[in-house]
Amino acid sequence: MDKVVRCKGICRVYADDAYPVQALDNVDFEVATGEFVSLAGPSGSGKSTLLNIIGGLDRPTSGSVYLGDVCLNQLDESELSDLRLYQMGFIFQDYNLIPVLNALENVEFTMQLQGVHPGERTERAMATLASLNLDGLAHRRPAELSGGQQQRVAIARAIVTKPKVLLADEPSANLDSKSTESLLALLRQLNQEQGVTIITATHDPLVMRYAGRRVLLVDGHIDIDDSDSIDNAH
Amino acid sequence: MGIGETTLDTHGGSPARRSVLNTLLLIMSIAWRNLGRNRRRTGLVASAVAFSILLTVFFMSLQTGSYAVMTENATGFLAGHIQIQAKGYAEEARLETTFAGVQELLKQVRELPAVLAVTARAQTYALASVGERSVGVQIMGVNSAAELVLSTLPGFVVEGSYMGLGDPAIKNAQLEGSLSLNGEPLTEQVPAYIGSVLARNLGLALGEELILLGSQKRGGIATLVLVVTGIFSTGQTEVDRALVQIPLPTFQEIFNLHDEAHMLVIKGRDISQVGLLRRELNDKFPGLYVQSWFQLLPEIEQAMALDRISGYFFYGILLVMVVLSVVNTFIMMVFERTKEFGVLLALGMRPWAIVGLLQIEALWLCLLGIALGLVLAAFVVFVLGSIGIPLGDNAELMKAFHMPDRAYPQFSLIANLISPFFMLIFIQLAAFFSSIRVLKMRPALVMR
Ligand SMILES: Nc1ncnc2c1ncn2[C@@H]1O[C@H](COP(=O)(O)OP(=O)(O)OP(=O)(O)O)[C@@H](O)[C@H]1O
Ligand SMILES: [Mg+2]
Repeated sequence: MDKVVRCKGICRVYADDAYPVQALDNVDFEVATGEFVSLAGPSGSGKSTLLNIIGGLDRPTSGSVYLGDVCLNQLDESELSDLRLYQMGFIFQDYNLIPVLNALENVEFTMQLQGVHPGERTERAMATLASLNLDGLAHRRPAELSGGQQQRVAIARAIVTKPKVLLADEPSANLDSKSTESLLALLRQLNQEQGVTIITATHDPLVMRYAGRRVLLVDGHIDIDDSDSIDNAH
Repeated sequence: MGIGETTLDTHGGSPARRSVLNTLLLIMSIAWRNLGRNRRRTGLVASAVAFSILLTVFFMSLQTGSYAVMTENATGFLAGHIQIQAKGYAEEARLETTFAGVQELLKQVRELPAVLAVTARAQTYALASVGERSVGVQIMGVNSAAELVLSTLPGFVVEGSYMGLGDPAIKNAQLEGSLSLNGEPLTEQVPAYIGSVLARNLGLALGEELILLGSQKRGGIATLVLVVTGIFSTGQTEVDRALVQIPLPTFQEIFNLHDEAHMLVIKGRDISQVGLLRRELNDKFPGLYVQSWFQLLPEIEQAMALDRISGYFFYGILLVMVVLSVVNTFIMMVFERTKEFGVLLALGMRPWAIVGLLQIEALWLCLLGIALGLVLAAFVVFVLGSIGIPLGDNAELMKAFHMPDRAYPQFSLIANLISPFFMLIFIQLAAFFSSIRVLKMRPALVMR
């Protein structure tokens, strides 16, 4: 199977405080194209840390990370930015929309960085918003949207560039169960219909139920990985 | 085929499609909107910039205005914009150091387009006596009609008139170029314009005579009887105590100068072009010595230079204060917005683009402040430029330096360019140094 993410011997030690914290301890982890993986585990087990390292938002203390054939360890900050821009989509717990831009502009943002022509940009952004039932809210700023609506705009922003991998850190933590259901339905649809690879860190059993593969992290290493459900991904 | 699909195949490199222009437009618009996000901070920084622009532009305009008046007053008093002298006269003002062919020279100089007016003068020291009392005076032969255009001295008349200009007999005699009538020298009719202190020291009143005693160019004794036809008071004691003006033809006659003078005094059409005119005259009259008012009145130039330097010092301090407060605001702001920058980085904005974003925010802020400051300054300069600012009553000192008693700020292009320019540069630097830490940010660590 074609592996899109490969982590080999990842250690991450946070050493900036008085005593060092070993957040990840020699983690080997691979994700195949088209998988929907959930990372579970107690608080502080290293879920976010692993997700950040896969997304090039942080660097491992040791070990190597590959996205496709590219070794992230060898990229500088600008190259990592480019990699995120073209190959990754992020969904955050607290949405992180750009407050001065309205929903449409937020969705257009990454395309504008990519240099997509204005006409095509707006067309694609509107289409994506419409597919998430947000077309009526295109001209609202984040502050004028509910949490669920903001998270959907964030998803639109993350998927409009058709990333290789979609990384979501606790995407449902601030949502009620109804919004969570529709978010998950949406993620599953993206995963199954468009083949987007999704990796999500979560405490939420509902999210885990939607995922095709469940990984449990404990104390910075992988405790359980039910990789046999890979076949469910497609 | 969509962009997204193509770029999915590029592996980590920077695809050519990423456009600097697009990013620039994007960050310019985001930067502009960010100004509206924290109105209080924007207002504070912009008004600090505006205030210092207002102050510097206003004071520089004031300086410009007072320099203009100062040079106009100083050069207009006696010195003129430019003087042409015989070589050596500047080092030692001897009666013998004259140049000849005055009429021809006057004609040639008058023909130059940059010249507004020109006149010839001769001068020396002599003894002025009334009865038992004698004092040394500086006697100056002038063409009174030309002096009216060139010099403000005629305007300082307090009694009588300038060189008896109201008196037709004297006027006719002057126009003929000599003061003799039927071969008899008209000595008792030679008009003299003398200082008030001299008049008091000699006990002279209008219409009374004084006797002049000096030595001629070629050795003889010059004597002359003058009639006081005008008394001036300039407030400058040395001038009021010692200067006596008489008609140039008379001067030439009694001191034995034949079509000779000590200086041509020139007023140009534009004082700012004085350097050009000086060079032109220099080339035209290689045998003579041409000086501009910089050399003639070094104390004025020095006073202005000193004033300028203290001005720069003041502007420098103002600039440093404003820049420090802007730096402070920026460092706070970058700190407060750390998470936001993390998000932008996570979404794929390059670190340098974020530094650029902050540069542009600083630019917008600065332009906002500058625009505000310039508008305010233009208004203040315009209003005070037409009514003037009274400078108080330090008359003696002011007059000594040819300072006006009211200051009129004058629009100055330099003033309007220089402080905004420095403000822009320094605030850009400030923004840069407070935002470079973005380059080292790891998004995951700053987004928590
Ligand atoms: N920037 C940091 N500096 C120091 N320690 C950190 C940092 N980020 C995470 N840690 C520590 O590393 C460990 C793993 O943190 P991480 O955020 O990956 O856990 P998590 O599984 O995502 O937890 P949660 O479920 O609470 O989100 C924790 O002990 C945490 O305190
Ligand atoms: Mg976490």
